[in-house]
Amino acid sequence: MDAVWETPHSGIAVSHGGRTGSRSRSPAAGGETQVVRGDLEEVFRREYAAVVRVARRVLGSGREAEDVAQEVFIAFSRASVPAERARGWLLAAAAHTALNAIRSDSRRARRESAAAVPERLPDAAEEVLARADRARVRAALGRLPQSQGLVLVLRHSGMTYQEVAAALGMPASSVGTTLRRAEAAVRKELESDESPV
Amino acid sequence: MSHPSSHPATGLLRRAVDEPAAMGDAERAHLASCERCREELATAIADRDAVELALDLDGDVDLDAAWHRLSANLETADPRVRTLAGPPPPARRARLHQPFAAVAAATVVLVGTTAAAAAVDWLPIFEPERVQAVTLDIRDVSAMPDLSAYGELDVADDAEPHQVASAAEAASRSGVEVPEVAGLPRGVTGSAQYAVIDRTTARFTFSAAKAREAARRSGQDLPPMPPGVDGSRLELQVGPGVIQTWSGGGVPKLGVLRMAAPVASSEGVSLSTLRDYLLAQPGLPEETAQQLRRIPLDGSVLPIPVPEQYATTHPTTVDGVEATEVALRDGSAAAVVWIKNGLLTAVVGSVDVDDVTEVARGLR
Repeated sequence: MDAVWETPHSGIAVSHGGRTGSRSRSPAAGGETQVVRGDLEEVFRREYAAVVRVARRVLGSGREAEDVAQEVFIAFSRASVPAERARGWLLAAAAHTALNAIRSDSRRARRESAAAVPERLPDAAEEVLARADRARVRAALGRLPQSQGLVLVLRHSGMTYQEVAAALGMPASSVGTTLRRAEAAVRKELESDESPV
Repeated sequence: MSHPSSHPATGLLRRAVDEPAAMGDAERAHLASCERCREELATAIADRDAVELALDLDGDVDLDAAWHRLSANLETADPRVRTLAGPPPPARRARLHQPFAAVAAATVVLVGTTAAAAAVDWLPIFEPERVQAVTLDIRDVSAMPDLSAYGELDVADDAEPHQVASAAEAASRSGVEVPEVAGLPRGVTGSAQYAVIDRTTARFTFSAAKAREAARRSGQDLPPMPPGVDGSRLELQVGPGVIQTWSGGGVPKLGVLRMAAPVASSEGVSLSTLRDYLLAQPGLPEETAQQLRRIPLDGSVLPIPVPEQYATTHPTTVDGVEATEVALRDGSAAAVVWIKNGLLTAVVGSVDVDDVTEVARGLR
């Protein structure tokens, strides 16, 4: 029976089966010693872009996505999730953390959507539209039940149904149903004229 | 076990959109003859495509820079990595956690540009979560070294506020919600004017040659610029934000500023090096340096320099967070400043400090 591990920041619960890989220690603030897994750099270089991609799809901003990825990898560095399950764990943590970010505070989300605008856009009109679009997507994602949001984001980040099921610890047969509900809800939100905020 | 005459489950139908092999022969046969299921399939495809289009945002990452950043975060064991929007983490840049540099550079960026400058003349920079007053002797302020003595400042964007017609336009242009004022203090009437502050970036490049020249001109002994500082850059970002002002008799009487809290990052200089160097400069009063040293170096505090001859400060609470009231000693103006969720808000007015705080607490 797998244990359940919870990241300190995202609150995500992820199944894992035990600890693998060598681990090293690094000094921490206040003289504490914190354990950092030995395979961190290898996993980081292999999975970082995928983790950013998941978060970017939720947040719409590469910069914020990289912030989330940093948070996820810090949690991962101290986690005992087996290396062979690292990818699913990381992507689920990224989706969870990013979804939490847009839910945590609507005002913060509005600020972030403003900050999510690319640095250079062809003109002001396009910039306004880009902001509005991202705000609508974020608002729609933020209103989904967490399980639907996770399934939607992970599937639309390229994970297979089996991978999504494994990463979230849910029956594979439920992934399609959950995904269908999520997509219908998001499309309805996007097509409505309702203000995103 | 499905029967050709039964409708496939919703989940199976959806999965078949992506993985056609998931559907068996019986379901496929049913689908071929069931208009309702074909319509459902078509809707599922359309929903998927709409969502895919909305979420289709990819971009490159700088893996080495990201690993460098993670390593730095792990070394400092700072679990509170940046999760709010700030400046783009520039490749191979260390973030600045040094108050004085932020104070000095931010001042150059902000003075004379916005209502913020009028409210808090020296608006310093970090990635702050709260504000804290730092009292200064105005005579010492004038004696402090000019930033231009240490390098070149390049303000990349237009830092001037732009007047707009309405709150809606201000919000649309800035992306920052315009706070609604519940009630105006006595003596302040009329309609609000709105302005937008665009995101402004300024870069300061340290120059050992300029520092030497400044030292020569002033006849002062400046501490030598530590290795690595010469040529390194400090990047500051301010805004975007919105300003509402109310006038009385043609004179601004009340202003409400809300903007993304200013942030700073440095390039190529370790934090301790920068701190030691800048706090060792002549002209920086020791008492002020001590106040700045006492401020946590985690970048969470925005120090607000206040000339003690002219103003008093008082901590208060607005919207559930710490705020700082600043009141001119002659009673002619007051301000209250706070940060919440990465947004800096300042209410400034030629009114009593209780009035600005009341306005602040009534913002919606």
